[in-house]
Amino acid sequence: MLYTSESMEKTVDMFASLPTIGRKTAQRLTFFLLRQDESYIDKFSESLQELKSNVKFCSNCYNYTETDPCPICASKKRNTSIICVVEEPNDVNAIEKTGEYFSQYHVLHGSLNPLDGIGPGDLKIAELIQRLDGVEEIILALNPSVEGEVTMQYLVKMIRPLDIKITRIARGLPIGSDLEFADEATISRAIEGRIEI
Amino acid sequence: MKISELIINNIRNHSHTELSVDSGLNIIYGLNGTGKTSVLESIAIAAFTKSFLPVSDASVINYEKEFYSVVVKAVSDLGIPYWVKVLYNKGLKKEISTTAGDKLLPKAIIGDMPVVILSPDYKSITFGKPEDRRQFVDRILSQASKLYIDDLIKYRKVLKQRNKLLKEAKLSGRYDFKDIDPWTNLLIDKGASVVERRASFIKEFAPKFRDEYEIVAGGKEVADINYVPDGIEEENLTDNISKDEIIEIFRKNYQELKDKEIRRGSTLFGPQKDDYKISLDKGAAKENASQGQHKSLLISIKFAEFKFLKEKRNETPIILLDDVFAELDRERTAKVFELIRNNAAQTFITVTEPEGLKKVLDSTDDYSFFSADAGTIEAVEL
Repeated sequence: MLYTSESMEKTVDMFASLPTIGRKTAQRLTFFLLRQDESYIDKFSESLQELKSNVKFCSNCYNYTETDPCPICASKKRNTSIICVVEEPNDVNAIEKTGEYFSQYHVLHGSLNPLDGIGPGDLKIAELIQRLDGVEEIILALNPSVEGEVTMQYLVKMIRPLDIKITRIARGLPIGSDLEFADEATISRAIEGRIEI
Repeated sequence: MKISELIINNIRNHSHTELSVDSGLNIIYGLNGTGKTSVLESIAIAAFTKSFLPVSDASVINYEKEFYSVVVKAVSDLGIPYWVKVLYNKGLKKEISTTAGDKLLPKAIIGDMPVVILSPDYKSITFGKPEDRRQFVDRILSQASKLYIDDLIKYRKVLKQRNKLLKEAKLSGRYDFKDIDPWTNLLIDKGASVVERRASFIKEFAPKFRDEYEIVAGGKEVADINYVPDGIEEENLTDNISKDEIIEIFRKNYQELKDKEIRRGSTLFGPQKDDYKISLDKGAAKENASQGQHKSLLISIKFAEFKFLKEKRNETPIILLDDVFAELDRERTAKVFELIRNNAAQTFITVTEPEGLKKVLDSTDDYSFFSADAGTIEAVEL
């Protein structure tokens, strides 16, 4: 045993099981918790428990929510004829932060990835197809990875026959960085995706 | 590019080695197992983020240590300082930083510090398996073009994913084109990009290789290198074959092979099966060349690599020669030194015994000797 306490060992193991957390960081977090007073620990464990019992999927867009439908789907101010399809709930937050998008979302919860055993049935694709009544445009905002690319192709094939406008978000240069600092791959994709003005 | 400082932590038997380099020619000598080659490996890690030997990252780490790191400080031909740090913690992602920033991906730094390596292991380029030749070309192209690395990485990923699907379909006996088609489309698209880039690379590289061979072998015979892409007939491989033409050929190949792919449960076409034919007087070098000719071919191909990279990156590559002089006769050794001198290329050489090399050096050479012993490297006057 590495530690003098089994509880510490268990906590370190739990932290280390989280994504992006290595063993060293897990240790640091554990020591940090040990130094805190009781009330902090209570709050911490309480919030973890509530997280799982209170948060569920929105039955419309499959984003995480405490109310069903979620505040975005329930909002009267939002345009329901446009749906932006994203891979993860995080992506919704990223787009919401812009404050420039006033329509709806659909969260797939991943992308097609045979190596990880994720097929179309494991994503919220059927759920997306079911809510397309009255929808005029689908914006595909998936990641530029090969998995995102393939998922996009798959969705296009499913949606195309339904006579709905399909768009994808542009790929290219990040705003705020100069052309000369972008790498060749990014610049080349940006040229590929050029638009007429 | 010239390296001015090298700091190695926990690579093989080096626990901590700091090397200041101020010469063009750096000769590291010592018995086997003293840590000579690990110095070259460390430079390779700084250039490619991995060793040039076919080993895992974990196996490079010093026994019983948890990480390795390499720091290289260098100066470009134009005098601009460059540094790179590669840190690998067992089981974690490599942390790569350079003058350009932190948390970089390998593909972001490959090619920043161009390196050409000659090692006895590379004999297989001229008479080994197609895989050895693909690796050789991929290594050059990856240093020359970030777009190539990007396409290649994506292609490999799609190939893996598609093979998994085909294998599953074979096992379950259920084959759904709707699921596999998007992977096939992307495979063909990315595969065609890779083939297009390889074809245009060979078009540029072959004349260089022919010229170098003529110099190295004295014009006794003519060497050549050709691209032999999988599933593309020679007559279709025109000099300016376009991506769209390749896509069309791949689509046809796919149609012909798709039933077989289902039966076998794996992808049966594409650049993962490419080869390059190295020939002497039109005959395949693999079968026909003598031992000596193989050595000349290998040196010429490496010289051509040097010139290609120098031209593409506008930067003189660093040359690593791992224990090669034992295998080369006096004439070929002289040719190697000619290349180094003519280009003022910084070179790192490992030898077991320094005496032989001392004879090749002349007073105008800017050289240093280093002795290696049990994982320590020391500059010595010889």
